[in-house]
Amino acid sequence: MQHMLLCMANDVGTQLRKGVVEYCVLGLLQSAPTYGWKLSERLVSLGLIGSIGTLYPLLGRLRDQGLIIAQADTSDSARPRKYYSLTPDGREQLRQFRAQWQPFSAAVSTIIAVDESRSPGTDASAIPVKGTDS
Amino acid sequence: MSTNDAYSAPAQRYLAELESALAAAPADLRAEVTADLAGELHGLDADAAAARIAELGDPRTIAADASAEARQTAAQTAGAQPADVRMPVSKAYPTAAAIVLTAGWYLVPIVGWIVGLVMIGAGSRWAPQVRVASVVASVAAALVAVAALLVFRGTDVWILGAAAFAVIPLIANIFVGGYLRRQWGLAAPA
Repeated sequence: MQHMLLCMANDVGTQLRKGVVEYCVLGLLQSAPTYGWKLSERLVSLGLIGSIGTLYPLLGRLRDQGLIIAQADTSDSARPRKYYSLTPDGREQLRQFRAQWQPFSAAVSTIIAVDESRSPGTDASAIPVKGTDS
Repeated sequence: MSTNDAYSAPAQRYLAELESALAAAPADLRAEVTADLAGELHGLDADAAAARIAELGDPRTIAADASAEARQTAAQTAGAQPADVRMPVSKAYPTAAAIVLTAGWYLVPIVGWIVGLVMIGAGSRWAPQVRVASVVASVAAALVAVAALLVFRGTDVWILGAAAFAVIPLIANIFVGGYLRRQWGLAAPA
């Protein structure tokens, strides 16, 4: 049973990450162009992706959608890296997500907040429920 | 990746493991991951490479994560297609067309069979070449049957002609019907 709950918790985390990781990548790119390893280091340490493996298909998707572009940087000849930066579309997409995210997360937090009035010890009949009081 | 001084021994080992772990991944994804991580390990000495490898993690995990994420991309692409392409396709129409084509020849001579041909022509879930091939096969069988009937008419073996006339369309249309049922929904609607 505990194992089942654990799996469910994992699954919730996975489902949540799926929707937002792409915007987190856009967010990481908003200040400066960045390369894959640097992005993955941040996202892994924040627990948003499991490994750098997740990042590549995700970057490919963002590139296909025209939200980011990749440029080879050859200034460090020993380590030529692919730098990703936001396109104007990517910037706009991030702006829209930002505008939605704050009210969304606030709304969810309000709803799922631990209900103090229902915690054990307090009187449950404080809020009468139809049909239960006889 | 060919010169030993550009990649330390741990880096070479790691990249080889990564390459084999990604064997089942799409070719472009495999190329991108290996090229990018090879770039990260390029020019590092053994200690520095080992430290970077420890941060990167198990190549099998990286390969599994990449494949899982790539499948999600594929699923999203599929999700963008019209709903009717992804829905399980009902075989009711091709079954009805096969029955009308086969039984129509006998129950409502000529007319029933022609209705079957029209149903084939109108079936939007068959590729055009499937429809043409089916109609041609059915018509050819009918012509052979009629020819057999005419050729043997009035001869001693007229019964052979009659038998061919009765049996050839049946066999041909059963085959055409089976073919049509298998082909239903395999091509995008025209």
